[in-house]
Amino acid sequence: MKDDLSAMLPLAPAALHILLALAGEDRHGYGIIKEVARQSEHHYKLGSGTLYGNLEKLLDRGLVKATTGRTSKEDPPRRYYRLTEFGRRVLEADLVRLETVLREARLHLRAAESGKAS
Amino acid sequence: MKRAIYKGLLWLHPASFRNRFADEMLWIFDETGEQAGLRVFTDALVSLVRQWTFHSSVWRIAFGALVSCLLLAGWWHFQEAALASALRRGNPGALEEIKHRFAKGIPCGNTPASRAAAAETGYAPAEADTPCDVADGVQGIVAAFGQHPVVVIGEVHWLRPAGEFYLRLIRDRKFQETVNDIVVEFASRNNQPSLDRYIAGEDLPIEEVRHIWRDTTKVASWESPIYAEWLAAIREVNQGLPPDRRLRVLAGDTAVDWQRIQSHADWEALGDNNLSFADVIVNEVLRRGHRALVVLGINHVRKSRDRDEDTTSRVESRYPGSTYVVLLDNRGLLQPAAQELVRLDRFSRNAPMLCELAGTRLGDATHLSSEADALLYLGPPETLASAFPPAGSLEPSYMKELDRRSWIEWGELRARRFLGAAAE
Repeated sequence: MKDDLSAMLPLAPAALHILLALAGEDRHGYGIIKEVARQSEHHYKLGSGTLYGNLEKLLDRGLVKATTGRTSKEDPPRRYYRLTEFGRRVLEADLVRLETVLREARLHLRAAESGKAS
Repeated sequence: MKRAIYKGLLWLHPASFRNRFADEMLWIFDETGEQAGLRVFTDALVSLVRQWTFHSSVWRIAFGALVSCLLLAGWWHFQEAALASALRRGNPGALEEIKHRFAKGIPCGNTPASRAAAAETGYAPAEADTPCDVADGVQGIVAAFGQHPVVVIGEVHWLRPAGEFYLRLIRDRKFQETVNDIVVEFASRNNQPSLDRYIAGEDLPIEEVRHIWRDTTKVASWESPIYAEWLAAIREVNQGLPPDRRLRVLAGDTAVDWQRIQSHADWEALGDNNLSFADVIVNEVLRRGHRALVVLGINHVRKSRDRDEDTTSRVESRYPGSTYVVLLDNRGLLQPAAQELVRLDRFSRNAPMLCELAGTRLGDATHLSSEADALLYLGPPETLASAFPPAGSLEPSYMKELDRRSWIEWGELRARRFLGAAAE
């Protein structure tokens, strides 16, 4: 299974944002777009073509699954997307990878700054 | 309206994607489309390209086409190598193939190996000995229309082999499919209505038809039967062509009314007929997007930066690159050294041949490449005979008028000298 995870990594930026948006709760497509915008403080605006192009891959690879639900009784039933257990582990693995990248980046930047100061 | 366009873009996606997500995407558009504007459409377009490229089988088709091309190229190279090998072994079938290619003007060898082997048969010159790129005359001229809308033949007037070549040209199916117009020097523009009626197949009295080549600015210059025969052949060819594909003959020479020409000054006032030829080619051919064969005297067509007066230069100044100039070979054009260079006797069995000049040894040795794109070889010098009008074919009243015109143009009865027995 470890091999399966590594084959999925690293996640593309759009896929990472989509999985992050689904980490808290199931969402329909429009909900994912709004959540991605909120999480990125509106710096990253996901278009629906990009969203569904990525969702298709995530569904096919088993990282996400589709369910049916509704927001309220008045709303028509919609397709919701849910992070699978496998998707959650891929997301966690990618976050660990990103943390490593961040840690390395900070170390290098600090070393560069201390070199300048001496 | 925006929604309809967006819906259309979704509809253009591959069915597998469209069926799965289009409804949701349209719903999101309804929620956000009015605010998002152009970004939504850009996103949909990018998605469209991405889906067709990666999601569908388009890349497989492209890959298949590439592999097919490589296989075909490999097969072709193998065939040529096999031909070269068979020629070296003296295989009679391979020799027949080379003879066939040579007769049709097809390159006798398409790879260095097969070219070298073909050269050994004597039917194709070795690459190093090739003075120019050679093609069958008719096929070479038709092929030139692929790059140039106007192919100009600079002719030596009255040559019988030239007349025969013109007949072959207009009877060639590919020429008929390719060319719209034929611009000629041997008709003046005021006779265009008669020319149109005659070429369209209308029955006109011969007295009216003869005005077409008799009443031009050059006295008695078109009495050689090759011109009347060519017009008659075009008229006949047109009967077998659909109306929208019929060849039109355009009178290129300056309009002239000989009843009003009474002195040499009147005749000189007609001006330079290069102006008229160029005007017809530009306005009746190029501006209409047509393709035309143009047949003029050799002095009207030579390309040269120093000569800005001739027809080719005038047309090129308006439509650069539009013309392909072919000079008709004759005894005066190629000096003996150049004749030796091209070894014309080797081509004579297959004349007429078109010899490309640009970048060839013939072009360099003769400096003809600065004046023309190709040389039309009609046969060895002894076959380049003129076609004179038959004895007694010019009626006395016309001869009397020719004498008058001769006096006006030259101050002497020069026409009688070159008309030969017909003037007696």
